[in-house]
Formats: sequence, C-alpha cells, structure tokens
Amino acid sequence: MIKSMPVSASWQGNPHPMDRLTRSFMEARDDLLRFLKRRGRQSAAEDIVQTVWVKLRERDDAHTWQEPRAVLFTTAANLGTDTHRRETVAERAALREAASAQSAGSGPDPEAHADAVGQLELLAAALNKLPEPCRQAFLLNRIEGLTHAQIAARLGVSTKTIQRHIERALRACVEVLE
Amino acid sequence: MTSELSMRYAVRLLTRRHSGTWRESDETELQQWLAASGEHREAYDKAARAWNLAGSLQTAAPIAPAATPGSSVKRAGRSRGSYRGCSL
Repeated sequence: MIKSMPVSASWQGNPHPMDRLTRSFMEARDDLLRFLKRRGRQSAAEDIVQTVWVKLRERDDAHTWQEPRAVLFTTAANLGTDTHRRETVAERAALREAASAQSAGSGPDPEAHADAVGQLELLAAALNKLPEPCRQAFLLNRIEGLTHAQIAARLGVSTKTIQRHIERALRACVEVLE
Repeated sequence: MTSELSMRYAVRLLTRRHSGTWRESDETELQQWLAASGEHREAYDKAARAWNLAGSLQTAAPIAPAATPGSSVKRAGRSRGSYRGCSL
C-alpha cells in the first residue's frame, strides 16, 4: 500500500513535493479562520489554526485522510468550544476566568471548582455505564478529535452508527447534568 | 423547559457539527433553527455545555487501539484511564 508508493526526492518530477498536511492546510487556512471566527472565537482563531497544524503534524496520519478538509475543520472545532453565538468582550473575560479557575486546581472560588470536578465525575460515571462501542466512539471524537469516518473505519461500522453512538453518549451526558 | 424533540434535534446537530463533514449550508441551517425559538437555543446550550465539559475528560489509556490486521487486540484488564479521580 504505502510501501509500494514511489517515494524519492524526484517523486513525480517535483524536487520538493509539499506533503499532504501542508497542502491541505494551506488551501483551507483562510476558510478555517473564517469558520473559527464565526463560531465565536474571534481573538483565538489564529492561535487555534496554529494549534491545528501542530496537533496534526504530531499525529502524522495525513496519508489515511479521506477528506483532508473535514479533518482540519473537525480538529479546529474540537480545539475550540462549541457555542452558537459570538462572545462579547465581557463574556470572554468571564469565560477565561471560569476556565482558569477550573483548571488551576484551587481557583478563587473553591466551591465552583468542587462543583466542576463533581460534574466531571458525573460525566465519567455516565459514560462508563454506556456500551463500550458507544463510549469509545464518543471519546475518540471528543477527546482524540477523530472524524466520524475515521472512527467508523477503526471500529468497523458505518458512519451512521457512529453518529448514533455519539448522540446517545452526548444525550447521557446532558441528562446526568440536569 | 426543553421539549424532548428540541433536545434530540440539538444533540443531533451538535454531533453532526463535530463529525468532520459539517458544511456552510449546515451551519446556516443550524443558525436558522436557533433563531426560530428560545427553546431551541436553550436545548442547544444544554447540549453544548455537556459537550464542552466532556472536553475536560482525559483518558490515560488508549480508548480504542487501532485494529491490526491478522491480530486480535489484547486487553490487559480494563483499558480505561482516569481523570482527577474520574475513572474512564
């Protein structure tokens, strides 16, 4: 498969063939920025685009991508948070504060921190109760940033099944937080 | 109070938004749905909150080892990691 590909410095007559990740990234860069800004990540968009590149470079699996654009956008989306509206400056400051309090271990509000940890424990417990493929599909998408197509290939099922698994897992998370 | 129908649709849209095949037209459709009713926005907010919080979970062990052709995947006990005492 990959081994049979002619790989040399003069591959297809191009002395410096741009690798697939770089090519896809450069083609999609402007669209990625627009996408992230529209999702309410105005100030962080540039940073996220840069992180996408670093993360995918580390993953080093560009040769397996069926839809490079989809991989780039999913990775970008997973690095940001999901929000349906643009954040105001005040909201961004409040969010940053909340986020740092949550990750600092002992933030300015220990009660809020305990609450956040408690909620994470609830989430973990809810996910662990799910059937294994369902739990795996959700975590591979949410934590590892894999696309539905990549997870489908890994678990040997259809993308439709992956969509169903992840919906079920997310539903369980929503319910346990209510 | 969010209806079962709105909640189900919000979860479906959010899941698709992170599928890797989300397009400009999908985003337009989502924004139209959100603009149509406060209940829709409330449902989506609930789903997004769960999604965002789940992003803080981490697994110490591989979630699902990539299948190697011709070899069965060995599992040493429960291949579940943990996050700050939240076993996964």
